[in-house]
Amino acid sequence: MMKLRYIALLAIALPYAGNAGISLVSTIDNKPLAIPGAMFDTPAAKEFMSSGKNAYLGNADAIKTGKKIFQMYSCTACHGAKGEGAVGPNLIDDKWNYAKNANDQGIFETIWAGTAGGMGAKGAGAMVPDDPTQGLSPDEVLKVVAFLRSNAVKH
Amino acid sequence: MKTTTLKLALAGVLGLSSLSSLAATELENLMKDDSQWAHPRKDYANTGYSRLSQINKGNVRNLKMAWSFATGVNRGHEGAPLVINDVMYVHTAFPNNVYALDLNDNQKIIWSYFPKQDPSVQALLCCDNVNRGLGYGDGKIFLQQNDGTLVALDAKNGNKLWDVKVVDTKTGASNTNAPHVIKDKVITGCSGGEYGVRCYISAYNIKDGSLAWRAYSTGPDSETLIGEGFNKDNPHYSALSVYEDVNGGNKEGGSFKALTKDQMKFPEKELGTRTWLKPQAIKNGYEHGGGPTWGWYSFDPALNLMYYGTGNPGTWNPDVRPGDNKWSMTIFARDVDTGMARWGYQMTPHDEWDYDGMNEIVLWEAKGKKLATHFDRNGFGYTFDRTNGTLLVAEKMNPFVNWATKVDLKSGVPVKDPKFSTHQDYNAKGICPSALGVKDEQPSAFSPKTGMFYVPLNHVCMTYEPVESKYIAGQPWVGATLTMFAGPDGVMGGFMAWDGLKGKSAWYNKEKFSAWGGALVTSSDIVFYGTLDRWFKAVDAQTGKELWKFQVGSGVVGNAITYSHKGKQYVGVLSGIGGWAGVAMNLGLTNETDGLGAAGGYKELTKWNAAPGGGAMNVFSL
Ligand code: HEC
Repeated sequence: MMKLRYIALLAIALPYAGNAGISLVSTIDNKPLAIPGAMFDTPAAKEFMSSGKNAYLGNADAIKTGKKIFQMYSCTACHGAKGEGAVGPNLIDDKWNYAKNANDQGIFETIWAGTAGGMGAKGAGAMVPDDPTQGLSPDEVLKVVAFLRSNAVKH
Repeated sequence: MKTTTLKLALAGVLGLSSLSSLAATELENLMKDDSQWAHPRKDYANTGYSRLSQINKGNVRNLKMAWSFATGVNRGHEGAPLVINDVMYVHTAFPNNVYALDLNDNQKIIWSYFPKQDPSVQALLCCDNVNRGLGYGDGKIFLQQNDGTLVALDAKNGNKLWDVKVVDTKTGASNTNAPHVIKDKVITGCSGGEYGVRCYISAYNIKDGSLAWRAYSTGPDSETLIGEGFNKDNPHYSALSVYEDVNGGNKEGGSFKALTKDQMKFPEKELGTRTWLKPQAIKNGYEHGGGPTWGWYSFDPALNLMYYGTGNPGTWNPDVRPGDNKWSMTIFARDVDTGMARWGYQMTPHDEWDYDGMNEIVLWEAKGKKLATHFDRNGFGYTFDRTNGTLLVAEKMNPFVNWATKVDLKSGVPVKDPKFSTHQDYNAKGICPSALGVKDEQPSAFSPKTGMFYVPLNHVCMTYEPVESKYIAGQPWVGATLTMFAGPDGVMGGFMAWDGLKGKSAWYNKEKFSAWGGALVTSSDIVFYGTLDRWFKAVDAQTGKELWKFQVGSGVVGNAITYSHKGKQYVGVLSGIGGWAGVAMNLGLTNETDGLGAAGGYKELTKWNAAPGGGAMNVFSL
């Protein structure tokens, strides 16, 4: 039974990963992330899944919404109002705990599934494992990233 | 046959009760013996005062390091070790290791205890991985782990005797407080004001870890343990509302006008639910109402009352929790046997600034009166008649406090300044003090000899912007963003002597950084405390003049203690920078705009400390 379900899960996740598009991996252990394809339900999310690019970068409306989401989920508590850092690291400079966060796919993976060093998973289904209604949708993650990138300061 | 059983049972009961009172007497005797440091703040009254006087103003400049002990753990080391019968019990930041050091044998380790805690709990600790120390009673050392587990260890060998889960980390709750043994109970708190946890204070029987009582900070009277006779002498503390909305109250441009005592409606019941007016951000605001209890608890054996403060109401965005939000931000006096509240006074009704009211309450006597003094985060120094909670003094600890013009002594209500009211999506500027408070958790000390309090201080202001945020169990639920900057003095801290009757400071020293270490005062009129730039200092209790200082390995956020061993007096303090002031530094944030150092204030800490700060116990003698 267990095995079967596991295979079924893979079956959902794999075609997507295999589909010309990108395959997402966890920042914690590099294992594939099984995000149901149906969650990528906006043009930007679909584009991200095929090219790994964030179409919201520079989009003023998306950035505004991204800021709201960043507040709504209390990212501000640990990373400051603009992502400048507080009890959690700065997200708008060019120094990263995980180098891959400099690119769109890497930072998506980190926000979605968390890190081993104190950053909890924020993606829907990953944030509160027994309540998949909680957490950010892929589209929302992309908007948060657009907000963060719009605040980026070079040193 | 029957009678024998009965007799035996009776004997058992009697034996037990005398045993537990024996345990209480043992601790009380240890507290009276100045060669020991057997309680977090040395005594039930939370004074941090010792009669040891071998180190005096004439010889203090000869103090030298006697020994030090590196804890092997990095990050904020708050609190202080205990010293009991020639053994020092040292705790550490997460993972909260404990070491028993043999003072008779060159501080050799007698036993150690290494808790196994899920590392993910570290993400719940808002303000660094701190633990504020141990409790002692009945031959047991009590450790309140960050993950919510309260452990009783055999003081002789470190064997675990019992453990119990105090809070559930799945709800976002955690623990940082020191457990306090009071009589035959161990009292412990709850952290999680930034996670929408409905916090409480709990009393466990030291014998077996069974729960004696638990009092929530918010909710129905039956759960906040409020009953007949509560606030009997000050029924206006139990008013339904102490403010009137101005310009719509909870929205941009709105504010709150203090009612006079005549205008208030009291006494009322069930205020722990009824002061969370609709609409709340969630169904019943009080259910995620915060009110954390992670401070230092004091106790008056004659009145059988314990005293503690509750912290901020859940979510920092005040607009989504209209009402006074009782009993957050409250000083409670409770019967320690039953937990029933005798009195409760809310310092910051309808908090708009995260002025978390959990700081210590120090018990003292003057002019034949039983008093209690509390230095709140909100910047007022309060003195109460501790028998009934009557407010005697409430004065600003520093003139830069601006959110309120004064506290009306008749009504007990702070008169808020509408200029500094905070509202959703509006960035309120120039609020003093910051959420760190004029004073944070670092405890003050009281000398019955000088009659003065010695108080470590912050001097930091802030901007505060409440934002919409979503409650999700176990996730942060903060609801405001803030930036902090040095106050008008141009520095970020201070240290003062305070007259609790006059409500005035007797002397005030500026400190470059927040003074985040707890104070010790001795009968030779010397005050000891540590600073974030690594100094451990002795100052003159009468004048504040510096008498001696020594630079330790990392910034001090621990509390100074003293004890004597083989006739010689020692003073000591934990070093290891961290806590709210040091956490950004510990995480390697070095940019101008990073974290709390928005104005570059705490950023300077990296010029004085390696990050993350390494923990050590530092001990000095002549
Ligand atoms: C409870 C505190 C907390 C909250 C809330 C939080 N984070 Fe984090 N975050 C951290 C910590 C701590 C780290 C560092 C983790 C590590 O080094 O492994 C981190 C790391 C990160 C990183 C990687 C940074 C780097 O240097 O590589 C990103 C990106 C990030 N967080 C985004 C977010 C977003 C977006 C949210 C809200 C949806 C959020 N965080 C909420 C604490 C938090």
